[in-house]
Amino acid sequence: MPEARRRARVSLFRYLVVSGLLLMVGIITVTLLSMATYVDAGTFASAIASREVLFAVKLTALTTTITTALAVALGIPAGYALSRYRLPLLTLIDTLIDLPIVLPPLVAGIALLVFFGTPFGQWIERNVMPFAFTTQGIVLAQFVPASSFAVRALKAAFDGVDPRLEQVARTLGCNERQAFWRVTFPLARNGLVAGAVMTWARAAGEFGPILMFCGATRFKTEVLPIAVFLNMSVGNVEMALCVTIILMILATGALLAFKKLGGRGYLW
Amino acid sequence: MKTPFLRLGPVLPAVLLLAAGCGKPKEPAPVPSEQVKSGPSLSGEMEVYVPCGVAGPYGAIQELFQKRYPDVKIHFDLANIDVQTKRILNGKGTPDVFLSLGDREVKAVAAKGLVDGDPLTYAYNSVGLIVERKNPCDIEDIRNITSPKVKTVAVPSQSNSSGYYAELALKKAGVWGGLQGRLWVTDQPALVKEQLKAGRAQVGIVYYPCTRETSKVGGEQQHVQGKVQVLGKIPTDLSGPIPAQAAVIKGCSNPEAGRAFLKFLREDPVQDIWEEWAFDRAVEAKTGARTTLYVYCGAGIRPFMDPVVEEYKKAHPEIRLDVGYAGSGCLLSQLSFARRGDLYLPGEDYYLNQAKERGFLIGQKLVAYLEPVLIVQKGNPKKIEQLADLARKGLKVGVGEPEACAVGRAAEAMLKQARLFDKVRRNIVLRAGNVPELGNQVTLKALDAAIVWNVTATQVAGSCDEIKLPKTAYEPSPVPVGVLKFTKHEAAARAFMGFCASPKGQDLAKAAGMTPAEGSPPA
Repeated sequence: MPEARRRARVSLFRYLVVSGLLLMVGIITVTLLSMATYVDAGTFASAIASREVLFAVKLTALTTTITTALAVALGIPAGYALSRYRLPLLTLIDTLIDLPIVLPPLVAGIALLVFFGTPFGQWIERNVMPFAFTTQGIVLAQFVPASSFAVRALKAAFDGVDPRLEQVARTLGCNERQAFWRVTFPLARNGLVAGAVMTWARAAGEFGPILMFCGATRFKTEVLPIAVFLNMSVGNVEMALCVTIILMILATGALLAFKKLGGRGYLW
Repeated sequence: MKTPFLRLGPVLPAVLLLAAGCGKPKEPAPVPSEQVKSGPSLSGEMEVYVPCGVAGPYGAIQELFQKRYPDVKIHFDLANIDVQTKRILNGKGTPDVFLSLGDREVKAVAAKGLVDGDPLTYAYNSVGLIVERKNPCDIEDIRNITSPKVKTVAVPSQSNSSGYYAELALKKAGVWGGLQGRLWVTDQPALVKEQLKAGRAQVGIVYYPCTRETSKVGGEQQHVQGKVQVLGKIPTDLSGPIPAQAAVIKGCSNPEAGRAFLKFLREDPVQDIWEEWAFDRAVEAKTGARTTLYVYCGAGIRPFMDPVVEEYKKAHPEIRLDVGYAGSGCLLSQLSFARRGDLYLPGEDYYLNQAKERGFLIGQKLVAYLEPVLIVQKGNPKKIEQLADLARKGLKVGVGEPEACAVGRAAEAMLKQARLFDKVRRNIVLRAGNVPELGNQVTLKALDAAIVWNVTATQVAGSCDEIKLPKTAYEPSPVPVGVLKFTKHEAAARAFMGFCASPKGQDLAKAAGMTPAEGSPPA
């Protein structure tokens, strides 16, 4: 086969592959940009300044921060254990942890509602604090899917650190705890932060469980995704799109941070 | 390894917290309850007859009373109400206060001229249904307690208010006759629960507050445990509200203290205590947002609900309304799981009837009607004038999914009636799960036309044109409101239901583009 033709074939292959990618990029860009054409800058600015959006932004910031803190606090030991130890029933544990990621998020909401209908759930509501249809319930509704996700992302961060480094630290006189804090944790730190950022983004985008477990109540459970839903329900399309754009900006920022930090683990 | 982004780690949450204003979302601060004014100084000893059923709330109330009148020395007698009533009737007891759970006992005492002054209704009581644990007889509500699986129903005797009102409810529900021969009647209401626990009865009727058990005065509230399960309140539609009365007994040693105690029972903080123990208030809360009603409301009728809530708040600042919006069907599942909340306003009676069939409703009213209309893009570029135009080739038409929303069923029925169904079907590009979506799609110019409710057309009037349809073409769809049996604030929930159906509510329905329910159906 002449050299020139072979090169042409490779080009054709590359052409096809790259055009597939470009098509993907094109579809997403056009879809996203079309939203921007519907909303002009003035509408967007006034929407952002509205009491409703400000409330939604604040409530989202507050709830997702608490959710992320809780999910990471739990995800670090859980992710580390999954990454390092040969646990009995590992496949079962792993499957259980993945379940909330794979199931439709709505299911988490239903499960929570059912749980708080049981005597134990009702005892918690009476003696600890009420959760169903409350603001604090939002944290719980975000936590169930987000914590699974956190475990997954944080485990990936620990997987990226060679266990032999820990073993070396142990031979040099560190105990388990010291080896973790002095070697593994600093090395995994970027990945951990990346995992936390994505957990936060995941919590910020949560809708189904909140709708089901906390209800869509204006100025009470109105986090950003609920604000989109509530505005769509009264035909306030501009406002809904503005909130969608805010969510998109947040998601893009989180993804960029995630990639910049070298985060790994599957996302959704 | 690169590190600059590390510094983002601690910064990010901090920034978010700042954005959140470092605090909880603001809620209206509770207004402090009216300060209890100190009355004339009272002293001496006071005796109170406390039936077992009010042991729980009585503890908290006595404590409050003692704070106000520290010089009054209180003795209480905790016993079965039947025993106490008989003691008074036989002249063997003259307490300063006889705290009854209903009104029959006080009436019996008053009939003998033994009440000093007038008896006082301090709260409203109700009766509730209890069944064996896990409900093996599958009792849903009072209407099916005549099921053949039920061998014995334990009820208090007629001489007791709970027995009297239970009988009224059973008669009104049409099951009294069917229960004859299966009733186990007791003078001591507390034995009803014992019968069930011992497996000697499958169903029992007790005062609803007695489903919150305590063993001693001032004891902590606990739900009935063990082998008994509470099915819920028997709707006061059936039993009627039961006035819980108290009286000062003639010839008692300290009538002044007794009267002060009676008056005290209706004060705001004490009313709160009654409510906490599952009684209904006799006096509506005066200040502060004490009562929160949760309303499940179909997303399609939010344009009606939002103004209703605004108006209601103005007239009743003491009521806080939390409205959860979603598809009516979704809400039905939600409330079935959650078993809480006070009112349900689905966009159509189809869903309310389902809630009713599941035994979730204790009352309902008609609010308005929805009528189907056509909406088209602003300026009507496709010149759509009537239903038949939807069959024109090349149009993009949206309808509701008949399984998911009533507007879908209405559209299908209407098209079939006009013999247009097959022709229009070719043009249908969207079967939406809810009405607002159809309005939004025409607004976004993804559809040329859609069949929606009048309320939706009013809502998108700024971005779509509405085309009314001849009244002969369709059946209007009723929009009802129902009070849920889970409510803990039945009186307040009923009051809100009444407001929705009131002339003012009707005006708001009209303003939202719905057809008011006054008089007969519009078509």
